[in-house]
Amino acid sequence: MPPRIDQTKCVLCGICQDVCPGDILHIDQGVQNMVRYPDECSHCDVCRVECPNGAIEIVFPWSMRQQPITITVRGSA
Amino acid sequence: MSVIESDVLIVGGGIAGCVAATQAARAGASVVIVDKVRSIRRSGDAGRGLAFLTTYLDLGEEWDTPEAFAKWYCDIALGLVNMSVAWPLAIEPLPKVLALLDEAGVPLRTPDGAYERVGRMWTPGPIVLKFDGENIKPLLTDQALGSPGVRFVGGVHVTSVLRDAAGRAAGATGFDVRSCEFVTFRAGATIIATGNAERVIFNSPRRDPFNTYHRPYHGATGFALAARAGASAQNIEFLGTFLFPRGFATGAMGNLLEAGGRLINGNGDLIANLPDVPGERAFGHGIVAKAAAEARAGRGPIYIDCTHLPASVLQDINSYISYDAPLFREFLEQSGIDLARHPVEFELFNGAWSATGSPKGVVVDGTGQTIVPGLFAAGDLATPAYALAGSLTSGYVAGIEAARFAREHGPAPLDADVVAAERKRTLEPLNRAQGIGWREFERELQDLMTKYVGMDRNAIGLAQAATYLSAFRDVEAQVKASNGHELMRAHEAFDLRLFDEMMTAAATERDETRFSFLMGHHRTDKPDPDDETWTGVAVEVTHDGERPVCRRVVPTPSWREQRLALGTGRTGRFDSDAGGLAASAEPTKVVRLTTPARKGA
Repeated sequence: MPPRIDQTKCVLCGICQDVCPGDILHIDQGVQNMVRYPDECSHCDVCRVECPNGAIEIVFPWSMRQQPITITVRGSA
Repeated sequence: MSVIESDVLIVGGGIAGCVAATQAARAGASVVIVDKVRSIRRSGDAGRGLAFLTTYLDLGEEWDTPEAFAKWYCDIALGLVNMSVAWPLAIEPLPKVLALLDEAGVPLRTPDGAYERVGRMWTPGPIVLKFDGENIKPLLTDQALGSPGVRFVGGVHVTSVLRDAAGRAAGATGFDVRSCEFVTFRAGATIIATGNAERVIFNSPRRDPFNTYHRPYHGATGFALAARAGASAQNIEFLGTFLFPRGFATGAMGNLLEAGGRLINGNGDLIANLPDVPGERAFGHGIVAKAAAEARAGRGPIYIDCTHLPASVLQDINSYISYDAPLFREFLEQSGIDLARHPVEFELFNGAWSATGSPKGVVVDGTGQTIVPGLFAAGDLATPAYALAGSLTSGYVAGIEAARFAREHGPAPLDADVVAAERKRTLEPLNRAQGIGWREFERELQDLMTKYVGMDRNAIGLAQAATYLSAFRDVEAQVKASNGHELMRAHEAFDLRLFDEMMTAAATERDETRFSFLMGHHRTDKPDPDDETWTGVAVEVTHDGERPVCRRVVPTPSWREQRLALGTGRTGRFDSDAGGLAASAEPTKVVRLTTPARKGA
């Protein structure tokens, strides 16, 4: 669930649902059920940027994240 | 029937839609912007911000003139762009849109008053203006919505462009994506500015149709609206090919490579070190082709490595990447990747989206008007328009010209029977208790398009795709929706199917292989370019309601003649050394190093 809403900060002002380009966020059932269509989120970051209370953070699901490695490049150009 | 009336109706409130609204209002028109988003403050592909604007400034250098820009523009589009349209719509207005940005408060200069200009991989000189564009969209939105006579209708998904008995655009219909209320618009002129095509084929890891570089939500609706109204599209057989970080489709490739990042394969070999390889700068498509060649040869995974770069350079990337490639920084952080220590894994994806130099789009004339009187297209949807610059200029011109058209022709009559029929078609999925969900339907479309109309195509596969797509038209009648959100997605899928039919037909028509910067068409049954037949020849396609209809056109005949006289169309195969891809006289070379690699820790 990419946008994570902080219940202690969200005042259900509705700005995030208005700016969300995918109609993903719905405030009519409270914070718990706000991210109504999580698998249609495109990670555009607009809800987080526009939230006046800093109540939204974006959390990439485990399956999207990379696992870092180090590589020694063979020589240089 | 309640009808929302205006002189000019603009479908889509992104960059082009906002600039069009501002200019139409300044020309004296009343304007309605309709968008499926409830607030267009940060809507569209530029919503989160942008850091680069490709434009000449004409400050004295030979690469900095509108003429040099035009030549480059036509070359990177492989001559598939009509330059008599591109000049008034995409090139000549650039100084005017810079003034408009200035006026809106977009800081184009650095604090000390200078322009910061950079060369990108594909440009002939440093014609890319680097600017603080984090708030470009809110500023242009405020400028538009603050203009007298401009009204915004949000949360409405548009499903058709209406025409009068004479075939002229008369407005549009749509529905509220929450309440499902059907909405009718009547206007003297209509501009569609809904972006290019997305969600056509799987272009991201995990086959997630919403994990896309450009915003995925417009689907191919603009093309479908235009085609159903009688307008046509060009060059939609071409796919965009790009490297995205594994897991997350975002515009990180250019940012990392331009900063000095280097491309590494799974053997630890340096494939390309952009700044130091002669010929690489010829449109940069060498990079994507090289990565593709490594992946196809089984030498993946592919990485972009920045570990050799000084801290100051990495810091500089961080200063603008947060809005030029939204969330990429967070993606790295959450993945535990430190650019100073870890390479970033990239994968090759093909999408149907438009990029710099892309001539894909709805065909318009120099005023932005399609062949349907009173119907205009602007932004990424229109050809020729590229990226931010093209969205600004085409919106600018279309806004003024649509206002002029509306003034000269007045409002067009609406046909109540047509509106009633469209209302029935629009809301029908809500009446189906049993049926197929939009997701299942769209997934089948994406699956078959990826299989048969993806990067590798041939006549048999394309014919197969066409038969599926044709059969799927009947399946549309089984797609159900239980609320406005699902109804919106269902219509997006219907629009995708129509676009898919057109794209498949165009890919069948072009019986050769051709590549340019970030765009390609690879026919496995016709693996070489056929310059005699196809240099500078575009496929134009529309849909007659039953089936797609193609014709071949030569958008800029002088370019074709010139290239044929030179004996090369500057096209190439998507294979190993990418020599044919580079338009530089210097051959591109693959740098292969022999020092043994140490296994990655």
